[in-house]
Amino acid sequence: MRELPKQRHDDRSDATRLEPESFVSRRRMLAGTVATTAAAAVAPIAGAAYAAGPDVNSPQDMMAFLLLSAALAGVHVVNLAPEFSQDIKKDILDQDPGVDPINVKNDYFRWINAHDSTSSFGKLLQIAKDNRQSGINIIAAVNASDDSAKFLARSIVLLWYLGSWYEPADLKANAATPGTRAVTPSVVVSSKAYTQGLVWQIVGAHPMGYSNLQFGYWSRDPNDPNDAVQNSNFGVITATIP
Amino acid sequence: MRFNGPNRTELAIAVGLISLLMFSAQSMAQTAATPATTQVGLQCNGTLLLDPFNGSLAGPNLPAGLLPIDASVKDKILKSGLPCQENVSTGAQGDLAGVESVGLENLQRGFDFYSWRTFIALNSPADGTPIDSASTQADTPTRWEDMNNFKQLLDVMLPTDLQPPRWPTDLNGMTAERERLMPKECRDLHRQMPDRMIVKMIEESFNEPFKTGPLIDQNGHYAVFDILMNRQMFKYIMDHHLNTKAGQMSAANSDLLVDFPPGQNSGAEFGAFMLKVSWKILTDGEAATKNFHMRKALVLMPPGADRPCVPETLGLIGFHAVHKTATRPQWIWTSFEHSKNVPDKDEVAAGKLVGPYNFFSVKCQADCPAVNATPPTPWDPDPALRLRFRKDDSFKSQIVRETPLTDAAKNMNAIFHNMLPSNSVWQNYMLISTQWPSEFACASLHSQVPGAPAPGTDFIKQPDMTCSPAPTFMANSTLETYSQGDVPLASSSCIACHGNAVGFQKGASAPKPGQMHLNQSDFTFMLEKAQ
Amino acid sequence: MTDNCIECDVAIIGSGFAGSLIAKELSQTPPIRGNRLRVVVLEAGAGVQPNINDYLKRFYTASIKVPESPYPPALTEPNGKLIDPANIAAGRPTSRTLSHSSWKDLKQAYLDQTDSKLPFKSTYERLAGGTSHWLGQTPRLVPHDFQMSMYRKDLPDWPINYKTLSPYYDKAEAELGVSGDVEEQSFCDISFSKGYTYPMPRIPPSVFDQDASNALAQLTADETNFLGMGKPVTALRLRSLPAARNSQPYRNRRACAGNTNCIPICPIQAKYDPTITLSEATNGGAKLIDHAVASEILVENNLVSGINFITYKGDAGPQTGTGCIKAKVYVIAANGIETPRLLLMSKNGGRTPNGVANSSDMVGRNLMDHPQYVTWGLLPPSSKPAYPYRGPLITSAIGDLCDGPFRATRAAFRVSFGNEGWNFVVGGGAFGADPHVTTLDFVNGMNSSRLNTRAVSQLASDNSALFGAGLAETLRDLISRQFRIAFACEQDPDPINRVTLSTVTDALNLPRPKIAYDISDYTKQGIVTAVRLKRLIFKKLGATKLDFTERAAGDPAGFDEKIDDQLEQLTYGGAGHVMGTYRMGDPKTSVVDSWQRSHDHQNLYLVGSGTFPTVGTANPTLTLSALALRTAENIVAFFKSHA
Repeated sequence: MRELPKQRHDDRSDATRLEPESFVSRRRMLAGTVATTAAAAVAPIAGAAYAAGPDVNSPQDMMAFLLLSAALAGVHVVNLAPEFSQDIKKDILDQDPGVDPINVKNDYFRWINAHDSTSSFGKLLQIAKDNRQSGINIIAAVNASDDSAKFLARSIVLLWYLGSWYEPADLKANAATPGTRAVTPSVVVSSKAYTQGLVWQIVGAHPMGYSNLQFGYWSRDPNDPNDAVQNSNFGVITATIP
Repeated sequence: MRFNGPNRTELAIAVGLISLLMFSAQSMAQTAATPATTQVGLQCNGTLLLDPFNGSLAGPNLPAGLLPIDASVKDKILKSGLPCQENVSTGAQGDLAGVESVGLENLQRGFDFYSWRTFIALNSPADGTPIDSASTQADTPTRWEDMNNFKQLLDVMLPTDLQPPRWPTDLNGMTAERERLMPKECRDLHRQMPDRMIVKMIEESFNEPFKTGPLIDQNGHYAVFDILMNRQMFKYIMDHHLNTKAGQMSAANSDLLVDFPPGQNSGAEFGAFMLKVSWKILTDGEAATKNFHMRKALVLMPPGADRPCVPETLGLIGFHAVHKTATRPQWIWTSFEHSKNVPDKDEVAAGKLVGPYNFFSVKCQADCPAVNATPPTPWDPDPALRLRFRKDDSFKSQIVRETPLTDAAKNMNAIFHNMLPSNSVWQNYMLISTQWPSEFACASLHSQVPGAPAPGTDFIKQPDMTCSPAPTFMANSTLETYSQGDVPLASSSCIACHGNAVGFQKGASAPKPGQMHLNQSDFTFMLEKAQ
Repeated sequence: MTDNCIECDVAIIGSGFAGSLIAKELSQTPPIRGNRLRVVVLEAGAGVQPNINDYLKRFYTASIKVPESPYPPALTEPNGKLIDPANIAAGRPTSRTLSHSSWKDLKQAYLDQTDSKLPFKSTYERLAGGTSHWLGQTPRLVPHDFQMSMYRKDLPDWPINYKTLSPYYDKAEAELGVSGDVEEQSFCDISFSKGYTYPMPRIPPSVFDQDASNALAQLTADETNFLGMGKPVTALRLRSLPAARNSQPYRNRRACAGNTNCIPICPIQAKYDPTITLSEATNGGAKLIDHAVASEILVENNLVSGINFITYKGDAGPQTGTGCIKAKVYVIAANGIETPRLLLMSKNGGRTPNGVANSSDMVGRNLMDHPQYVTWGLLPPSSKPAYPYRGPLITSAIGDLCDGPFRATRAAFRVSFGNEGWNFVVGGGAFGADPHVTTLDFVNGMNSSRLNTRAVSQLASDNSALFGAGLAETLRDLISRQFRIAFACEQDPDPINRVTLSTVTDALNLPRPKIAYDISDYTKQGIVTAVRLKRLIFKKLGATKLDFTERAAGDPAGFDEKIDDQLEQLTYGGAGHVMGTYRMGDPKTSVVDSWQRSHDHQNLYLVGSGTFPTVGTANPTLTLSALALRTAENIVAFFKSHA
């Protein structure tokens, strides 16, 4: 993919500001040329007990949440937090998750916290912190954890994909027999959440009732046939997490 | 967000190279080569000028000691002229201490500063006097009201028998065009007082977008709306024959990707600029208060059997300014209002009403009309009543602002009010907010980001070609009165709604694989007014 | 009833398509002998809203996004429990009460179908703008649709033909703002006024439309002779469907942005809805009274002398009072179930025991829908994806099969190609909607969609529960290949299918509609042919082994048919079309004439799709709109000629 400049929003370079050399723009990350976070600083944060519970205002917790979500959903962090950008000199957990105009990540964090009746959210965040180098490891650790955490993880994925909340207990009940065909109750978190559902983007579309595209787009292929796969809509959304 | 880009020289070279590349691509794609600069109309200032204020503006209180603004700073800002382009960053403003804690807030502050500079420049006297000069009055004609700088939409999208519109560069030529388009109903009155503004009404001049309803003030009069464009927009329309429906539908235009010229600092290019303004009919008493920027005008009532041309004094109550820039090809959407239009929802709940308001009664008791309700039908003005809504003035809109201004906007307003003379009419105007597309390298034909995804494919690649506007919703209480709120697509958002604007271009939507045709009209509804 | 009746020239009951169009025409009629026509419109439900914030928010936050989901009154409690229709003032049928456990449960279902053989599956809205949840399709009926006796002697002809109605079709298309292409719509003998063009160019077809059309472009006569068209069919062309959906700016409304949400609500009003016309009517002087339910039509000396109504407040009641309206001409435009309900309810103290306008005994009878046979599948991995959830809900259909000699023995149908994947069909509709159901399957190891088997998913195991890239890729792959095709079949009139009055009431104590409904063998044979065509289409798409059509367990509309030695479990859905219940024709066997004026009462008009004696296969809205405009002319003529 093309090399892109470092600035993102910034319309001006400004020599008077003292910024670290290592800033990497979101677009550059998507390019896949990002160095992984400095290999040295990767020791798991051992024994971090969650006395206070996950805190939406803690950037570390939010980064852990984003890493967890990105790994579980198979979607790049920047699609969950569009203002996220990475300073490759710092550990991934010390990055600034950013604030974007829609900021659905904060809504989701709060919602999960409020609906986590088994206190498993903290456990999942810890898994993300401990395995932050590898989405695959995060997934493996989640799958190996107890049912409460596992099904909460599923609820979280569905939240990102659909904007709807499925109670972990309901998911567990319907998963008891593999291949069940059943209604699973759900509640739409908010209008905003519905319009930010990811599954629609993954299939190259948009939520029903919320299109930001233009007249006639449906008679065209969603992907430019001149583009390689990784530059397709799907390719851009799912490039691996840092 | 932390940032350290390449040094200035590198960037300038990079940008320069890109401009060259883009220029050549552009001349291949379009039929008319566009000269780099126009010397007529408004000039903009391509020099970087950043918000020099210390401290954070995002909290409820202004930073201590910030006001009063130093005279030299004030002078520099008030005289800085029209910005050609925004200059924003996720980091600090002009002063390292002028910084917000969140990147988005820094960007918003940069846009709000740019918006105020734009407002000052456009509303400065047309004769070149500074806005803070003692001679500047409430009724001093402004630069945007000058026929050299902006032209009303209805004088461009003319009926066939009056086409084509002309915009000469000399005063005689412009005056002649004005005379040519003078409605016959207004001719006599115009002769009596030739300097009056002429407002020709159509349905959209009193009925808000998509026929959501008229707005009736506390005197029982209609609010009147008008739309104007600058020379750069006009030139693009004429160069591409978009001024008539037939022109838009011509074979030559079937592949045109409508792309108005962008403003940029480099070359001091102003770029395309459009205005939408709302006016209130002023009584003599209201005019005497000098609390409104006002103009004597002739208002031609909407088409019908009877079209009175009514002399009125119009007071400015709403001001949308929309500017296309090279870095924000989804345009930058600025909105100002008269400070006494309406209270906001919190003020009403707290009983903190400081009337009188233009569109809200503090006196009514059990008989208050429903808040934000549209007027009773019929809505069309009755020529016999001129611009009064009902003979008995029985209805007056009761409007409340649903989304209060942010602290940041209020603080920026306080700063600029501090810089303006205390008796300036512009003390009565406030910035609501600036809406801007937050995803930088988004769909465009003029993206300045080297290597941004190719223009031809962005519209189909990007799931959100409106590029995530910030703030997500925005409404002016006089111009989007009835669609305030926070429901996606239903509630007012400049960019989301304007992203749906299309013209009349013909042609298959996907003529050949990989080739694309759009009939999108680059975020303006003006093209659909072509006759 | 008070003597303080509202007085006007024309009283219109119902502000849906027909009511609003007539209100607008009359309110814009130039003064007759110095006076403008005073028009009052009664609307049972909510009035016109200043914006659609509330409706759209309701929609976005509805966990089950059925057609009625945006619109008041709420039909469920916040916890999802259905509200007993006895407690709703102006209730309506809902898509959620069509399951085997609910359709006969009077505590859930608004319609009393306790004695019905099969469920009537269509729903409607009761609020300003009427059934605004409509899709927006506006095809015309074809000429032979008006003359079905040429195929079956027992079928009634319309007392008006295509040619007479054609200029009103033109006018209706202008009022609604229809996008279409004359050349493309000239099939099955449809012809247009000389030099006619649609108000706007056609809506471009979707990618799937284009691919399906290619797949069906080369057929052999052998493959298609089961269709009984009487001539060889070597291609099945997908034509864009004409639609009241802007392809350009039109009358201050935006062009379609492909929100894929026509049903139930277009977020940008690119799809026409009657509040547009209603607002023009009220702007022209017509008065709208909302939350006013007509309760009785009063008759004296064979003329309608007034209409009583009940007012209520809030979404669902309670009652606040009563009122009456006196007019010179009355128009009932309350839809194909509510109009006969009102007529039958109007007993006039025993003087009209069979209801008003019912000397023929046909009021309420011949209830018809367009039963829909819906099929869905997956395109094979080798072909280009279907790319669902893009564009309007439907952009193209096969219309050419809607007429032919076969109509002597089986119902005709039109074939629509959906752009919304398996949205409402996944799992037979029994487990929720898509993409939620498919997503849930692959997150939670379920298989409601039947996609979660190795054979289909190409994953290592059945009932996979995935996270990460595998999940995203699997969903992308499977969902982008989902398609659905529906066959909307003609239903023939049967007087046994009817609307009467139930003993159960609504919150205003008015008897709810009682339904008796069945579908005939004629229609079932139409569905049987549709099954055969489905097999052919799926074959050409390469989807024969990826046919996921199924019938939900216990579906009360289910019926079985043996087709070419294969037992097919079939069912039908409702199209949202409520037709036939006060049909036009001669006085002995019908209720109104071709102007939709009652045979029994000279000053009473009954409008809407209830007047259709036969229904063809076209969506009824355009036809009922054309007829309404013609009725408006008749009403104006009435006023002009009466002192």
